[in-house]
Amino acid sequence: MRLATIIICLFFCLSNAGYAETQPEVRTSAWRLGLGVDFVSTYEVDQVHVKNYFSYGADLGWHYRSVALIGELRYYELSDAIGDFQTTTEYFHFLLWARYFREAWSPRVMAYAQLGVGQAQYKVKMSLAEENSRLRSDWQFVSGGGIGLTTPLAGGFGIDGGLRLLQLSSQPKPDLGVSLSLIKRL
Amino acid sequence: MFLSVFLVSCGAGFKGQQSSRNYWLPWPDAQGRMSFQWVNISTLNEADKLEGVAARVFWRGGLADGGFTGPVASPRIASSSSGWLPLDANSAQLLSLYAIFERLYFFERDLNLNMSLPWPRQVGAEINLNFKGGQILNNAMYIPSHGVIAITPYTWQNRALTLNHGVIAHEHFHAHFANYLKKAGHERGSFAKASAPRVLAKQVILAAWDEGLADYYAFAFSRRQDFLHLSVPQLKESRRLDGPLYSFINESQLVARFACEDVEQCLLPQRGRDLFYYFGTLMARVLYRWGEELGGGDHHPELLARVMESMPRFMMTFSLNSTTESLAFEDFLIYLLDERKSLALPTTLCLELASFVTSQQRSRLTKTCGL
Repeated sequence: MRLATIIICLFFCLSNAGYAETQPEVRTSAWRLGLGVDFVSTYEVDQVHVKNYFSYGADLGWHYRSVALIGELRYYELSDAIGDFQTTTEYFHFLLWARYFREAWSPRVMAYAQLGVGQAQYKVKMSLAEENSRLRSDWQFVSGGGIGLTTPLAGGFGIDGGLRLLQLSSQPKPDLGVSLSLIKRL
Repeated sequence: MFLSVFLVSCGAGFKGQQSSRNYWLPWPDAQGRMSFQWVNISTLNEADKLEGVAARVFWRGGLADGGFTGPVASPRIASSSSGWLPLDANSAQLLSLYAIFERLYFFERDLNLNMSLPWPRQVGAEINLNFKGGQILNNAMYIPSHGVIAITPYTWQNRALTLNHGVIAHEHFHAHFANYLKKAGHERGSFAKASAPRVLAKQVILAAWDEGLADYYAFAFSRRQDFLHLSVPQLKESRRLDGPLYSFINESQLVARFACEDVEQCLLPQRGRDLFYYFGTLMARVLYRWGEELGGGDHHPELLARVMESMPRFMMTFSLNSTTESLAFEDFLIYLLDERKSLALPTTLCLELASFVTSQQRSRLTKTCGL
């Protein structure tokens, strides 16, 4: 919650530096700031059942013509319990995305494909009756790929949405995410 | 390049030969008290696939002739400097389940018992089973027809059955007992098939031995007399192994209980099903007291091993379907004492036990005790 508050404050402070131009953001070189939410679908322990959750994050990127480099932070927290045994897992990752844009069916809508690499870490809290523990994992290698669309809105804002796969080195199969971000040209 | 990195990273670091790995799990210490510990598991083929020489663990699978259907469970784990961290409660409970079976495997190997059952064992957690139209919850059972242990979803707020070493060991013992029956040519069958009261009574006696020995096995493995009440608190007093002894039922009284036309009526609580838990607990308490009198501690697994060696031979001594031959709850204890002269029942326990059996059995028992 505290992290989300800091990110939102940062987003609105920096967004004051933007300018109102309803043009596709990638036509010019510019910095962008994004706030996003992902609806993520991952496999359960039998690799058959699916578990869904939301992850939240922020990104900072730089566009130049039809390419962009975007650094992204993502976070989620999941809790689970069986009887008196409870776990809460917090997840953080930092990914660097390389994105390539092409005009889609309208000059205002740009399609993109992206590939990314980064690092992720888990913090696992467990409790059983009166016993508690808290441990961090090593940093894990994470890579991803995705496709999406972006379109500008008024006031230098824009919407960015897409599909992406994220593969952590610690997991047997990739996670599938549907992402939606509000972006601001700086 | 990114694509190749993406592909290479899939599953990296998890495959390889069976090796020793540590997992962070809720686990009992030497006194049976649970805490979080690095638990070594040495028999998994892969770090994130619960399949090895000790067990194949399933989650929410169905049941077919060969056992559980669906893939073997793959816990979600991440590496840390000291070992692997489970990332959710399901992963932890399934890893714990495998680790318990690995300990059972070594426990039986050390006692020279594990040659009688095929390994790896099959166990499934959160298995959906129905009985009379309703879902079975908060239960664990050995299913002889499939040779598997099914643990149904646990909805109470106490110790999950998958984390309860005693419960898992108890269910595992039922596989041994089913094996004894099979080798002796006895068909346990359903109680409904046992039409004659005396045959039904024998089925109940057999079930009582099964439950009682399973409780003692569970104690000898987990070292907790109250293992069951951790998960099922309502059984705290009725099933604890350090509770008081009480009278064995007279055989004619037992037969009288089953002299009813409707077998289902015979199996009403306190007439049928509860009887075999009631006398099973008594059997387990006698063995527990016996092991304690021998010195406690490691004497319990030793006593258990002798019991498990004698039971298959004892099975050969009676016919389950005979309507003339009699059988009593305490017959196995007397057989065990006869066969295992070196395991003399302490005089005080023998005298106490003698006060709880019928006069006919009392003379046999005291004679066997050498009194």
